[in-house]
Amino acid sequence: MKIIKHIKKDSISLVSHIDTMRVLQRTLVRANIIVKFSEGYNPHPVTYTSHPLPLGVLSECEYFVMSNDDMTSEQVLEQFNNSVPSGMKGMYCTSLEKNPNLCAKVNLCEYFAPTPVAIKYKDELEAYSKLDTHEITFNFKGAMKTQDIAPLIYDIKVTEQGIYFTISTGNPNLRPDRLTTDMMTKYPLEIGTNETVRVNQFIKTEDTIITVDEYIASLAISD
Amino acid sequence: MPDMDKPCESRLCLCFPEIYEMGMSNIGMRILYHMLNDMDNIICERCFAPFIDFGNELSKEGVPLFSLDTHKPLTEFDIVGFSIGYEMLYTNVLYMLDLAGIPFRAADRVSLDMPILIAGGPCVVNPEPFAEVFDAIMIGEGEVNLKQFTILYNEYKLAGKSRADFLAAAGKIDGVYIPSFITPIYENGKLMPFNTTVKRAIVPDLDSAYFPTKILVPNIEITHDRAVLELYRGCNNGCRFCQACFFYRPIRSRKLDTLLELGSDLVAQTGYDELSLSSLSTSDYYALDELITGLKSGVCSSTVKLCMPSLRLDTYKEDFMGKGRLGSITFAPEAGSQRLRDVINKNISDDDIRNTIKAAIERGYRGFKLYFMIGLPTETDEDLDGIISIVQLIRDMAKEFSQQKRPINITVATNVFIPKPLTPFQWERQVSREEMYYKQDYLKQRLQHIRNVRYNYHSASVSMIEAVLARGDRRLLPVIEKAYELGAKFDGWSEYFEFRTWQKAFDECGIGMDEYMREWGESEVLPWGFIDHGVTDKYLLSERHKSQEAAVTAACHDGDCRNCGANKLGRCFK
Repeated sequence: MKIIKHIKKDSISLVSHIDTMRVLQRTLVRANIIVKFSEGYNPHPVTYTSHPLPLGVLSECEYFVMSNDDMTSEQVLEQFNNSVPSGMKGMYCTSLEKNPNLCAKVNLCEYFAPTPVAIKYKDELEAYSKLDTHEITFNFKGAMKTQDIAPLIYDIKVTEQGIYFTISTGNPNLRPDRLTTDMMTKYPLEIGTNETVRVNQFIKTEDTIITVDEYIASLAISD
Repeated sequence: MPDMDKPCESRLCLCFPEIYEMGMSNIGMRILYHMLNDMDNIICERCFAPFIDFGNELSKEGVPLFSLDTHKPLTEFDIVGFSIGYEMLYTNVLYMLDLAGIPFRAADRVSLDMPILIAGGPCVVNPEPFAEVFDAIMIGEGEVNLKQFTILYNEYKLAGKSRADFLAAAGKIDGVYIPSFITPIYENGKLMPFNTTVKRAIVPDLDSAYFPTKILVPNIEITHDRAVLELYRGCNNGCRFCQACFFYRPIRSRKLDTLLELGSDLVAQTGYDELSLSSLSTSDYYALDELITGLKSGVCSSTVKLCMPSLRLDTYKEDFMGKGRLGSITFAPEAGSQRLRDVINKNISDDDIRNTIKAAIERGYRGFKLYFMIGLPTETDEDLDGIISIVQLIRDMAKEFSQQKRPINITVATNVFIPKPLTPFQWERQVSREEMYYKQDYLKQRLQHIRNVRYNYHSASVSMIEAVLARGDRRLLPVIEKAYELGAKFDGWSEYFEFRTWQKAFDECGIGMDEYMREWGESEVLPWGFIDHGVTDKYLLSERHKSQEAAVTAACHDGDCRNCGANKLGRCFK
């Protein structure tokens, strides 16, 4: 198994998760990185990703796992970067014994919303993570839905550059744009639809919290 | 992605008057985009019709339509070229020009600093309805005439020569038609003979012709999301309703080895997991068995799927179908009775149909899709009954030969026949909307009582406008402009097509559709009569006369020429 950490920026952030999977699988063929195929009725390349990135959100920390044991990590990274579309770039590649199953393990993601004006409302925005309840209403597939997001906000930090917020991902899940939209309705913030960046992914257990990078480093094997 | 910053003399924008998903699927766009970008001194970009919501936003914000590659407004290009593949896209051409802020007519742009507007694609078989929009029209294959046109443009631009001088010189290139140089003359409403001819340009040797394998791969799913391998151009069957058959002649193939190499390169360079074979009649490729065997033992051996389109009914072979899931199988008998199939020269017999259906049922197929045309010349109710008979035949044979109890599903789809230019039926009349409704209703009444049979039919109104535009002349441009002004765009989409809009446009311009739907006299000058497409009117007429006697013409083969005239452009079966 190989895992590649890659970025997803610029216009390719407007490509949906399912299309991104297709883009990555085609990249592997172009890069001549041979991966195993499933042995079912419709064979497909055995690949895995971390949690889908909401459409329009940029990312500095996406993870793509492929079943390849024949090449070194350096070769995979070099060939991947030679064939991947612009806006995506592999940051590192590591060999693993088996699929780290990030979708099941990752439960927190940190995002950054660039909005310098947020510093004026630092206390109010950081208080979001301390609320007992906070209901938001949004349009879900044509119907209005209400969600209590207070338990889903883990941490919020406001800096001179903007807002860093860490929220629940997976099950239960909070979409970053729903939180930023709610913030914008209460405070005069300007966060563009294509400006929020996922900057880190975490695995939180009852007593520890580690980044996915640390988790991968702990599982790494030599090529 | 081609280098968009290389030093260049001129920039060309290739426009496709449909949405991105459709335009990026077009093999002609793929070839020309990469061919031009591989040339020195020219950069080619792309632009597609923005869908209605995005178009509205562009208008509202006052942002002129721009290219996809570098977001440059169309007005800043040296040349803007449109690929027009379907009559119902004419209003979309105007839509894109409108969004770009480019006046519709070439004559209105003469004193303005505007790009040179050119057009190409299958609709140039009769470019007259949109001729006055463009400064030049590429008749034939862009690998030849568009290439020469852009090289000449660079020379004239470098020399600082005028636009008029350039167009005068460009008009001498084979396959370049400058509409302002030809003025159709009408006397008593009749078109007078032309005193000039524009000869269609073709690629003489397809095997060595440019075919890109390192192509753009869209990041989103497009309509035909797969690698496409073009086997050959032209078609030897000579079905009398088929424009493409005659338009793309002479018949030129790529060699087997070339295709195997291109197929393998295409998959390696694109990463697609499907490879499709493209041509007008894939079953007629001279080495199809070897090609399929070669691809299946090579690039399509395990993870890449080979797609097989356009199999002719009489050439169905089990080997072609592979071992995949047995879904439905599609055949196009085109007409219900043997007599009518002889009239249209669709050379398949009742026995072919019976044998193919039997083979497909025995193989285990449970779904059949059948394509027919209605409104064909000499068609009667008995010919429509023939369609019902074929449906009944499939059901009877399923009972007799099928091992399974699961019912057979049959989908019957009918299109309305349109007497398109450059076919032996170009003189025939287009059936009226009332006749179309009658025929559709006739079939609907009879098919709805048969279990597990579905009947789909193409809109009679769209077919009528399509026919008028296909056979139109320059008098139709005001109608197209008026239709656009009244809101017509994306006419190829059933949810946006409004017949009333077109009806109103014709009424307001004082032009009747009947003039373009009637049967034309064999001595009449046709609006596209000044274009030498290769196939001669003499041959088309002889084919028309044979159709009137229900006499067939066998498919042509190497050394067995029917003298259609296409050979004078280049050798067939080279």
